Amino acid sequence: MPSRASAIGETLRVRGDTASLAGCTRAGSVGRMLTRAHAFALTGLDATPVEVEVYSAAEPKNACFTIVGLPDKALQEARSRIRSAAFAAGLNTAESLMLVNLAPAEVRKEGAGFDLPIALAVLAGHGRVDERLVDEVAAVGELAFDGRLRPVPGILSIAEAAVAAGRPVLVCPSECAAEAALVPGCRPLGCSSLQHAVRVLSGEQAPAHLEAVGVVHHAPVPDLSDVRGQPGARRALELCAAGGHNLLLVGPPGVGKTMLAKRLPGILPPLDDAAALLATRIHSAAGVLPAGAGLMRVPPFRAPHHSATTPALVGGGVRIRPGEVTLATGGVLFLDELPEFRRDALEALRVPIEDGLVRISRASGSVQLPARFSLIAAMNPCPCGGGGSGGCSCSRDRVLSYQRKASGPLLDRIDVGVRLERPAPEVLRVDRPESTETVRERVRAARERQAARGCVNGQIPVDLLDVHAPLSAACTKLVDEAERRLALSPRGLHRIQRVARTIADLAGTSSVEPAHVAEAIAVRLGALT
Amino acid sequence: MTQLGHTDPRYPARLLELADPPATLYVRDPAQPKNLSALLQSPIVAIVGSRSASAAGIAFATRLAGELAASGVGVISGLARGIDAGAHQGALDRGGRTVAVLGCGIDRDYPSATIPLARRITTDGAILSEYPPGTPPAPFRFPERNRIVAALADATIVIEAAARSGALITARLALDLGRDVLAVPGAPWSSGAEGTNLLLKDGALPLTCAADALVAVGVDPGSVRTDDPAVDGSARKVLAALRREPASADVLAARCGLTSSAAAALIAELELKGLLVRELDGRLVPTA
Repeated sequence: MPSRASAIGETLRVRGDTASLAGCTRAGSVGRMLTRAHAFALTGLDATPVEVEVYSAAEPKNACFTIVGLPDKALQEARSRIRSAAFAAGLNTAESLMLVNLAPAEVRKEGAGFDLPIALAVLAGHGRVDERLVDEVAAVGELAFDGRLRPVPGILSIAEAAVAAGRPVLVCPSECAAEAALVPGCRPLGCSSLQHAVRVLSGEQAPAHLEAVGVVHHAPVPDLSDVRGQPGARRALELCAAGGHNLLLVGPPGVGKTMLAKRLPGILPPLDDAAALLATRIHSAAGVLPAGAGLMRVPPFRAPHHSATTPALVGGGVRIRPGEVTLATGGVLFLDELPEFRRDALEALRVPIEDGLVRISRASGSVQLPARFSLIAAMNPCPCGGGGSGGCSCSRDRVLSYQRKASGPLLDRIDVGVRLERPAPEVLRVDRPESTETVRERVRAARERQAARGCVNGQIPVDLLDVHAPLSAACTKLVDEAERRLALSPRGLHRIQRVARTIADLAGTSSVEPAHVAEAIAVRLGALT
Repeated sequence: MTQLGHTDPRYPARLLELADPPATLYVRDPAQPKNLSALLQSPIVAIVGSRSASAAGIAFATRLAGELAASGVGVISGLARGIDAGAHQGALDRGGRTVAVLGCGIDRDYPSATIPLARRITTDGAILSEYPPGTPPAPFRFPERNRIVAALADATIVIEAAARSGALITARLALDLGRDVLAVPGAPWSSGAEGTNLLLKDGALPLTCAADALVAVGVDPGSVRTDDPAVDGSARKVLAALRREPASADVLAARCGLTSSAAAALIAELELKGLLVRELDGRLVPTA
């Protein structure tokens, strides 16, 4: 990989040698020129190409530095950073007139990522680097006063946009090069500083060594076998992983609800190429991807605190940022203490859960972000947390109204409910928890069966239920009985059919058996109250 | 809505046995006075108990009311949550008729949890109140309402009640009127059994099955039809284990040596047959 990168430097140098000579003479004689660089504006997850035009002239009497084209505050402040960094690179711009135009003018430009492209265009305008080289590449990065380059979020999106815009060579901070290299076709030139960038472009120095390119990002996921004495809850987790069902965990504090939820990413199949790239792109754009982390293969696990606001959960803000639902895409969104979440925040989750995406509308236009995740919600069984059993003083009515209120907005989006208790000694004695690996293998096989049908069980549309999960006469009898005896709604019955399909897939049978339907009835959400 | 005054021939005569009979009886539906008269022709029992009863207690009330209804005995209660709702439900499910006496204005939907139930009673039985339309529910009205429940019934059955509760007030009013009181015995460590065990000590008749109630109201107990569905194999083993001691699904699976998947399927089978219910703490309790 490094050899390829230096080869690019090599090709640039060949052209650079002749060009830089011409540039120097022109700058020396004329003293005014128009130079171009190529930057990217990040909106949500998508990067838009932005052309940076810099008019530079040696006019000591009219010295100024102006940026036009909808720059935000951070971008206005870029002027100080660029001046100082240019000085560090040996160029005093105090007596220059510099006009910077960012086009297209109507796209809002935000953040410090424009520092490097503007600085390169400025240097080119002063003949310090060949303008044609700067015009040929894409660039991104924040500058320090001493000219060092600092990493910026959204590199993956920017690299994709750079390739799409026909500028596969991306000059970027060295910390970001590995991430950019994940994009097929992108040739990142990692630079440690503005001076370094100039020398790399002129072919005088090799770009930073591309470390960790393609290295799989393995956040350690704890093992399922740690959850001892909760066989029912482990089974419910497996159902959710296998069928993409949403899960509600109900139990007193300290029984292992969080412990269980954290193990779901481990039993989910690893993200495939497209999903991994998407997850990495999202985390990069949100600025939460550790530098040099590489591709995310392990499904993400997001556990927002219950004080989270609606924009924090579904995304938004003046500068549109992906919310928790988008960050959880391909993985798990865990809502601990469900009743403590703000009701409007929970209401806002309904659309992403249903459609797998969020739409954020602003005066400047609307942005669509992916939001396809497995939901795990957890709550105490009653207001006092004691669990309706010994030591709990809550009346039946209070408990029921608490549970109904708590799960209210999300209740009809949850397929499986499970009750957790402190593990009883007699359960601990016989419980032999399986490892994450064993369960993941079963989940993988079950998901393969679903892929052949073209749809995850949790998302089977109602009109296809009887196609994908036909019920025999014996199964229908059970479902009818459930409808009559347990007063289940049609929606509840559909959910049972979907979960039964998952149980059959885990068992490896093509038809749904009565035992599968019975288990699905036993783990229905309503069984909790 | 129909109003029945003292002089109305449809006004239930047995209410006049009360020291303070209601001056006017409001009936929710114009068709209901006829239902009421018909119901009072045949034996009728009151089934009362705690609003915060256990799931097992409510299941027992439902089952008992159903078996009594199937034997032609009417069921009267207060349309509250818990035991009351279970009793109305059981009678309606088996095609029987049931009378609800409200502790608020006849036009009020209270409590909201029993609105669907009240709708079913409109066509199958009668909803009564002594309060004019618009009267809000208030704690002091419920004991007042209870005297009507006690006076209309030939016998009063108490299932699960605390030591100080509306159900016990109903039972005492029934005793004052010289009607039989039956109580479901419970384990002394069970808080829901405090009130009923107290009644038993005071001379109430113990009730453990529908036949006990039928004897009390003079119906041949041979006519009681139980409809316990047959269970066999592992399901029977599971049920037997729960009869020894109620347990959570995990504990049950451990005791019976089943995987949680297999145990869940058996639990659902028994639940669908009405042979077990789930308490709020997640324990599974057999109903019979």
